[in-house]
Amino acid sequence: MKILIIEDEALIQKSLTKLLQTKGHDVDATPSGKQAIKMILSTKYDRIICDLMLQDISGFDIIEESKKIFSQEEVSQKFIIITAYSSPQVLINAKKYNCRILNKPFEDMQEAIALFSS
Amino acid sequence: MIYLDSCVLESLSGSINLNFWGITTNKKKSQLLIQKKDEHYIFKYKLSGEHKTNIVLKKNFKKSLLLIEKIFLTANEKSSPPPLSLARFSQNKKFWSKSHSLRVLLSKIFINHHSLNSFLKKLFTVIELKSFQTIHLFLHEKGKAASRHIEVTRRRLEISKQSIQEFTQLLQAVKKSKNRSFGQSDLRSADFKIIGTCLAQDLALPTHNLVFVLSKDDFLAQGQSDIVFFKKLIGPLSFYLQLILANELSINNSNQCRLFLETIHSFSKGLTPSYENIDEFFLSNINDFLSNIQQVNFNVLDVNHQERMTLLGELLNTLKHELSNPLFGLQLTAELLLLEKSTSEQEEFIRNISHSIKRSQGIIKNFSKIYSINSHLEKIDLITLLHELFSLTKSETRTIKKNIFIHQKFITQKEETLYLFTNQTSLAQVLFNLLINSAQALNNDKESLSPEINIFISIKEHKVEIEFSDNGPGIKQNISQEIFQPFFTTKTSGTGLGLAISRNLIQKLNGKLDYIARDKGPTFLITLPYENSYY
Repeated sequence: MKILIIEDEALIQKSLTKLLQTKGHDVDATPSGKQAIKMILSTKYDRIICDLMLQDISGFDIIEESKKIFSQEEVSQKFIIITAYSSPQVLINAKKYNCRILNKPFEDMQEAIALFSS
Repeated sequence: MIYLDSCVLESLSGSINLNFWGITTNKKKSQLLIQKKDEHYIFKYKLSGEHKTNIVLKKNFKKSLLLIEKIFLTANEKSSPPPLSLARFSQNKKFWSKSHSLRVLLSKIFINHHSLNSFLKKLFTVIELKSFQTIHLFLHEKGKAASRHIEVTRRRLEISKQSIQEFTQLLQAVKKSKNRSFGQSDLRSADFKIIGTCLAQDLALPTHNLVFVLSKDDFLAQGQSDIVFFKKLIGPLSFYLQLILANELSINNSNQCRLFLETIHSFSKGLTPSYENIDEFFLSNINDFLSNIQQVNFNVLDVNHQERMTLLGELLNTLKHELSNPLFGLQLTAELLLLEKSTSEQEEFIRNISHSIKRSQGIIKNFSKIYSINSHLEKIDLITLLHELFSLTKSETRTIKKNIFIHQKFITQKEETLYLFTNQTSLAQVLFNLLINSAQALNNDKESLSPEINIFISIKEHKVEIEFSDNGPGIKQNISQEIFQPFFTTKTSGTGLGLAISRNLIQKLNGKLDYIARDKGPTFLITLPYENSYY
């Protein structure tokens, strides 16, 4: 799969990238939300793993922008949100886009990786 | 020259708590001396063993008197009501007139008769009042809906009620007149049961309006000497009436308070109040009752604690989120490294890193448990909680052996546990506090060779008992109850609030926290409600 990881915590970004690469996936990564939007609009990704709290914009903004090229169903299928915050607000918004959410830190690493690869 | 002292205060029985100045001719007893010299007033007083002198200008007399009153108030630390201010009388020139002996006389009467009825009766002992037969006192307590009429002769005393309109009528009639002497028709005396002619004066006191009437019960005009005397009498009389009424008021108020409290107390217990033996009830229950109110509603400690907890909770939340990402990153990286080829030594290092990271994450999670702003009840695993708390205090309790027993049986983590239905945050805070206290005591006790903390858990009837003890120096018998008082501490650091707050928290869970002697040694005992049916 062609996967995009949008995460500004360097260690998380690098290790997730490596982990998915060892599973045989083609992985791109960026810490910047704005950069991510450009990448999404120019490259066809099967999966986008997106952190909510980024330095420049929020993960939900990225999802909004990507609606330019994705249908509702594609959005809910491709995006997986990872976040340390699990406030009700976040859950409500995620429901709006119908995306999956994974809480950081992952309870089960294998399960998480499996989810990313599905 | 005026001497003032608190001799009047000393003469009163202990149950009345008044604080005011009396007048004395006895220089030795006086606490305050006021001297008039030319255009100055000199205040000389003794306070906290030191002699002080203030010289003030005539125009500043009132201010100075108020100030001195304040100074004496603070020094004496007596509770309300505050001393009646002499300043109120400083403008009443009659008071400062030469009728010193009359004041002394009245003060003597007052010392021995401080209830209104007996004071009035004793007025007849004043020689100049020899020919008078009846004293009438009409009182209206400001704000009340009715007024009183006290009629006193040498032989009897009668009290009756009066409407406000009637009282006001009388008051106005007396007030308007420039004379003090009244004929029968002037005041419509018959309406007020005043027989014949009389001398009357209206008095406006801070708490009451009064009309004081002296009558010979005949129809003759008042003699000049009587009128002169009456005018002299009014000043000091007014002073003592004010004292008496203030006292009466405060007694009434405390009775009312008593009744009020009793009613609320019965109400809170679901009983209908009975008024038998109020005094006993009052004395035995008031402490209980007040501390109940305190604990349930007005506990400043509680509010303080809540605020701190909220602040800490928010702080911890922020910390948790900030640390969460870097720790996660470290965790992922460690896992990644483990997947790669490395020497067995490197692998061990990486495993240690991973372990430390998990421990850090656990610490954050567990602290969040203690400081979460959560007040709901839930089923908690007591043994797991205890172990989590042990890990939080690892550095403090490193050298201390921690033993948990359920029903006398020694427990390690994986075996048994006990489930409780209670508030996790509160219980965690209390256990954490006990742990830290124990650890600090044990660590400071240089004589202890093998320090131990023992926790015995057992279920008795519908209660679970958690006995928390250590083999440290313990707590002395004589302070075993004081330790739960706020701000009590034997340590040089810390707030002294830990045990007070802990007890408070456990009480909120419908439990008890005590320090008692048991065969295992001195023990903190936590008792909590336990229902088997929950599980």
